[in-house]
Amino acid sequence: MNADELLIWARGPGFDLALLVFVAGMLLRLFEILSLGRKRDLAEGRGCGAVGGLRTILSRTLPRRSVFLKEPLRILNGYLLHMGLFVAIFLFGPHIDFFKAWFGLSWPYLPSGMVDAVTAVTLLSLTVALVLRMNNPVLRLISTSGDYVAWVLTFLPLLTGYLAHNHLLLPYTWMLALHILSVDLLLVAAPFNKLTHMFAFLLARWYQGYQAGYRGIAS
Amino acid sequence: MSAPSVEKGIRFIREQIDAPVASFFSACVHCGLCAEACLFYTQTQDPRYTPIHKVALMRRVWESEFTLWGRIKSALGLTKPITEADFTEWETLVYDGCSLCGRCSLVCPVGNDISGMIRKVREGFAAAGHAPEGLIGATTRAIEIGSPMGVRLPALQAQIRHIQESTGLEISLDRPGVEYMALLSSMEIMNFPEYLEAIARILRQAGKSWTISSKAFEATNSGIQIGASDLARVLVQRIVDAAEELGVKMVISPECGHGYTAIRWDGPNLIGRPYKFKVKHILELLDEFREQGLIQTQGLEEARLSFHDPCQIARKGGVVRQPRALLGLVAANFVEMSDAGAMNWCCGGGGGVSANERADALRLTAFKQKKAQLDALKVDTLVTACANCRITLEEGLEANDMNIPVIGLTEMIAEHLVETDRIEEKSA
Amino acid sequence: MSPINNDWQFKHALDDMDGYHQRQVAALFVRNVLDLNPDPRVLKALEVASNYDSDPDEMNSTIKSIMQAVLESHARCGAACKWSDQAGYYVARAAAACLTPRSFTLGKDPAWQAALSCRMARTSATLDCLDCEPVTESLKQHKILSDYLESLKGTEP
Ligand code: SF4
Ligand code: SF4
Repeated sequence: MNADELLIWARGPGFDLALLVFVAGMLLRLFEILSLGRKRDLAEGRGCGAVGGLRTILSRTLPRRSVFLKEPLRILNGYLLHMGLFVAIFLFGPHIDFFKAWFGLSWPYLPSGMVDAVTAVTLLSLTVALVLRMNNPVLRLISTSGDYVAWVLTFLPLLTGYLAHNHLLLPYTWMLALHILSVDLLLVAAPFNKLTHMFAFLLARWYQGYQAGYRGIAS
Repeated sequence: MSAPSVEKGIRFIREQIDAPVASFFSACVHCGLCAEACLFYTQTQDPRYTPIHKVALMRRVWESEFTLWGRIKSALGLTKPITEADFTEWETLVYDGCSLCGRCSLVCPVGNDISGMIRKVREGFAAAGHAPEGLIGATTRAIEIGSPMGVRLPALQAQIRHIQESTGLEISLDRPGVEYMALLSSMEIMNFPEYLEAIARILRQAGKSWTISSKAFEATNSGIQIGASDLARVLVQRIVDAAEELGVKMVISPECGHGYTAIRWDGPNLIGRPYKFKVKHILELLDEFREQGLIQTQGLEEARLSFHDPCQIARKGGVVRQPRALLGLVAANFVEMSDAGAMNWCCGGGGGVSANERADALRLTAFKQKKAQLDALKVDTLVTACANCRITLEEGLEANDMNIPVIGLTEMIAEHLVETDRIEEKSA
Repeated sequence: MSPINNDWQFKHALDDMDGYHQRQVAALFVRNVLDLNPDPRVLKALEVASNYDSDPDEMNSTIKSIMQAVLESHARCGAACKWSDQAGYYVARAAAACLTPRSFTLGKDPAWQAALSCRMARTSATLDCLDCEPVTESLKQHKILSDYLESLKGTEP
């Protein structure tokens, strides 16, 4: 198999399959969670659960002051990481062209030089996250092999994308093929590890916020 | 009831897993920030006290039984089964090293209610026979005698007699048709009789009719602390039966943090139906009296004082504004601690920790968190609204050579209460 | 002055006393229940309380040790209650009341505080026992106060 063939497979049938697994897997996870159900709170409430749920979905995006003051690096790095990933994935011209071809939707993009810089920063930020994870005693204790797998799965597409765009290390087509393959891999694996947090955080915040809103307590 | 066993423990943990729990585990990114919220971690720096780590056994049950990937792993024999040794290892984390204060739940960036999960996982530990001695004793006494500390009716009657004698107030047991039924915590009956006197004076001044049930005067619920919902249900049912039999409109939860959580939030869910009466914490009620002009106070405390928010009342109970409004009546020099209100730090004694002697040293270490808050404030007096916080604070202050008295807010309001008809009566 | 027969008179008589006399009479109340808590720290507290010019250092260290005695003797949340031990707690509390500054007790009279705690101590001691005498500590306290006031008459011009 040469580079062209690999690329064609990776962005064609490979991607289709990966996307299918991703969507089906995530729906399965969603079903696994929702099917467990929850009991209605029979205590007399003070407020509206739904309002609380929505409020917490938004408000939890900001850290508590006292925790932020203790761990500013970890928290800022978390923001950086997520914003960087967002820019690299959704505001890069070629990606948007790809989405357009796939879903028929498109939106404005950032100059590629800028995305390139953001990607570099994000790679750095991921590296910092890894270093923190391996050196902080709490993180070391609660980390599982899954955390490291998820790290690699996130790091690879970013790295190969960066290398491809800058024509580094391997011929462009090869690197691009690897890039898309790594994305396929990420999509396939995401529903089965902690990357489910990309949707589950909404549920978690909703559930806690719902209870808090209903009971009229902080969240 | 079948004998405790690992299997039973695992089954009880399994039964606790619902959609919110599954969403919490699915959302956790292992960022470790919850550790920074927990006084047992911040003061020991021992990573095992990281909140999410405390529910690791529950996570294992969830993963291997409620996720596709986990089920495949189990089928292939790749899952490590939970053993007696696991329960032993985690027992001290789940009971000694967590006061169910709920602070971690407010900090988790993905919104996990970790504290709620720890409360749930305790059901499994109790079922596996891995609950601390002190809590088992308290729960047995609560079921058999009606009080976790074994306080019997004659003790309460003796206290009532005292108060009637020294104040001339009337306190009646089992009076039907009155507006309020007051609960007490054993701690108040044993250590702080001033609480009962205080509410008697305040309710009288407010012109309210009230009573105490001889069948259910105890507000605390050790079934909840230990994590035995079946026992917790029995204890709640006693109160509900008594209140509905007497036909009261409202049950007043005393200055006891978890007692409030038990009767206010857990109760209806345990007995499976809403109550026919309302439940309020005494501070909520006092603040209503204040708003309605039913009570007036005179004189101001000049001491520099601060309020310790009991976790179950402020963070988990939503009663934050009321104590401030009440202190506004009687305190000239009120100062707030850093993190006051919903984010306040626990005293370290909640969630059954103070009833668990094995945890004494750890509790005093965790108290350093409170000490740090207080050191920054330099107060003369500390006010709170939970008898258990009060004792825990007193012990912690004493151990740290800090000479700060701790006072109950209800008592403080009663001391400043303008008592109109009583004065006339006495001098008449 | 007429003897004291009820709590209303009792309380007013206490109200009219200055700090030093309050401490002295409070110590007398506690002495009457000393059988319930033989802790030397209690005795020490009473000694210092009845002394007119205790030196401040001694005062502070005595307050500290009596507070410690109070904390050691209280019932802990969830522990099985033993009312006979609880009697000891109330005695210690009464002794502490003799010494604590008013700012610690929300401005309540120390002697009144001590009297109440002594009564609780006596009651506690009888709670575990079925055929104990009904409690009459308050009557005894009325007498103690009457006698004390009587004795003051003799010494003061
Ligand atoms: S703070 Fe929340 S997401 Fe982070 S480790 Fe703790 S539970 Fe997991
Ligand atoms: S509930 Fe409180 S004590 Fe328990 S783990 Fe969370 S922060 Fe720590």
